[in-house]
Amino acid sequence: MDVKNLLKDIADEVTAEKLGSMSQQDRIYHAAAQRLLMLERDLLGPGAPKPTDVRVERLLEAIEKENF
Amino acid sequence: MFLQRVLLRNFRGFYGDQTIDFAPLGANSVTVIHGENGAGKTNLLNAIFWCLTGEFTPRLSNIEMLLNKAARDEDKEAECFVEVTFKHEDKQYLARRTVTGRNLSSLEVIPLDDGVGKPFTSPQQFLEKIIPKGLSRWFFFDAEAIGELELSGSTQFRQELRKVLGFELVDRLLEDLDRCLSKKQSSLAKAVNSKELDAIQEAREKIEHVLPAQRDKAKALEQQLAIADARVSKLEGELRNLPKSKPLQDSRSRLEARRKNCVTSKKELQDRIARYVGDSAPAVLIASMAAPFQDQLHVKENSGRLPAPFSEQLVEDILRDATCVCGRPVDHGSCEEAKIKGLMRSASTTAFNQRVRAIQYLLKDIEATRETYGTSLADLQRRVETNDTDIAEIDDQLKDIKRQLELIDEDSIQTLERERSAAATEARQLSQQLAVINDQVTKNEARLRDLKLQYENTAKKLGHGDAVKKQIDKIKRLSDYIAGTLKKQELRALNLLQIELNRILTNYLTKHYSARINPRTYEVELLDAQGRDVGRSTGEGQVLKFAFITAVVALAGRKTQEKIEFLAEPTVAPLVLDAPFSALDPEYQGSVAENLANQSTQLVLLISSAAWGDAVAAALEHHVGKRYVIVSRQQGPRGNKPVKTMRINDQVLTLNEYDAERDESVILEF
Repeated sequence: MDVKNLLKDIADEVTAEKLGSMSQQDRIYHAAAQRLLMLERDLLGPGAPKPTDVRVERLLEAIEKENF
Repeated sequence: MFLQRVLLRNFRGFYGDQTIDFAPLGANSVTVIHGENGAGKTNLLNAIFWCLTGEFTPRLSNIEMLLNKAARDEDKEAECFVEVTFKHEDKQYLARRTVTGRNLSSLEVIPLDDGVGKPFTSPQQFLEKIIPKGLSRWFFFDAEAIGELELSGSTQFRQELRKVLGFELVDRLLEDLDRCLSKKQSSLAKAVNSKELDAIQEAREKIEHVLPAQRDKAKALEQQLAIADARVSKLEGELRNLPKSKPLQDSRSRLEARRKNCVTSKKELQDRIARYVGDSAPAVLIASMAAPFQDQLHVKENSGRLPAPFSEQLVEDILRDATCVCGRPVDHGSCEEAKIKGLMRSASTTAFNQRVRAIQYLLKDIEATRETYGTSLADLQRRVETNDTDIAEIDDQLKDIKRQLELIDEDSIQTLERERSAAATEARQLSQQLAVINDQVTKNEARLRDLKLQYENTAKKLGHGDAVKKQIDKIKRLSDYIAGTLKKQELRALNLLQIELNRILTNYLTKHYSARINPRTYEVELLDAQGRDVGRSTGEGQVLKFAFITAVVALAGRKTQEKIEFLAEPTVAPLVLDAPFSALDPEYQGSVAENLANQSTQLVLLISSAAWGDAVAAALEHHVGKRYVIVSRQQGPRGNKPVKTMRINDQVLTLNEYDAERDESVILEF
């Protein structure tokens, strides 16, 4: 088996296990936090870092869409 | 990322083109480059570092002189560039940085997979994505400066380690969420039209406006201070290398180490005094009331009550048996029984006695504190004064050493001492400025926390703006969750780092020492078997620093990363170390070398013959995939000068040559 795929499978299993041990509320927060983190990474990404007010606007929009 | 090749053209001491093909990944992924002091090892490290980051290591001097002097003399249009070919995520790239003027350069990054591709439009950003800016100095390390690596938990150290651990992105997200919160709270203040909320919000915005600039200023000052400190250290090293100034410089180093200890100890004592006064001063103030209170207690204790102590069991027995201890009857319903029960209602019971005793002990403690307060405080203050005297004496001795150095009749020493003095003054001034700005940051952060709390309490009282309040609550809950999770992950990451450090120390140190990382400051302490701090300036402390760098590099890679959530993209980079073992005690060189080779994905060592001892050779020989030597060539006859050689696998390498066409360093594969 390809080692990379194997590592990915293990990482997925670890994540699934972690999510399984969380409360329903934490699972919702966890998913929202991950999405915001990815958005922040893109907004700060080398090459096209966005100014503060743009980041704040985009984050507020994203939080608005989160349902919790 | 792993390095495949570096090409230098007319870079500093290297004339013309010089190339190194690095050992490929696998069992023999170590590339060793031998060279004597001054041959160009640090220049080579900086060539790679500069090409990829545009920066230099702090100890490199004359950074504006990049074009080789001989090449410039021969041709005014001579080119100076460094090309690094590397692979990242199975794709091959070429980075080329060219000198275009004084302190100016241009960078190109070209993908090589399908022939020569089109250069990237934002090459520096591309490279920073592979090795983020803050991480690069951990991977390209001037190990001669390992002694200067501060594991003492400075703000800069903590920030860089957080970057390595991948927490910086989460920090930035939390900062931005705070801004989101502030923006929503501002709209709430407008929506409910509250003057009180408006005022708090305005005060908050003022601080939020100045705080980032203050933090940036602190960061910039820390960087300037690190450069100034490195410069002082470099100049002191040069003074130590000159026979006439060596003894004086050695004494100065010892005195400065003593001074540092005295200053630390003084600060600890001052903190103790502050804590002691805070804890004990109230006792001294109320002590005058304690004595009459004590007397009052005795009166209350006995007034109208059965005298204490008495046995409750004895009274119960009398009533049950209806017979007094003297033999007289105490019949039920009799006036004797009524009298005993009346006394019992106000008797000194065990619980009452215990309460009285507790108060009496407390009053005694207050009295004892009052009695010893003066002497204890005076004792602590005396110790501070002793420290002050020691510091003043050391300062006098340091001044004396400076005077003696200035009097040495040798131009080079006088110049070095002058430069050192200027650099030390600059470092001192920067340090003072940093202390002031750090104090401002701390005060503003505390004020901001207060204002946030005030805002929340005031907003709770107001019934309007429910929709905005809901949004605010949503941001707060999310921020709290992320901050809480981050805290847990941070502790886990530091724990992993600590485990890794201790694994290395257990395997390689002869003494039973262990490392502890303070989760608040990230300070790394070295402890003996009894848990006492043994300091980081010992030989074992140097091993700790090497262990720390390798553990950090390993942690930044994939090895332990799966166990930590919320990390940035994994960073796997080569570890390039200049003069890795010169700062280490010989007994530890072999084990550190072995550990470096085992922990890093790709290791490049620039090393002198003196540091290539038997232990290092034995530890690394089976890991070495490529070996080069930097030969230093000098114009002019040899005269009485030595020819340096080193023996590797029964072959003799010549490290310097004379009667050369020009002064230059050349890289030869061995």
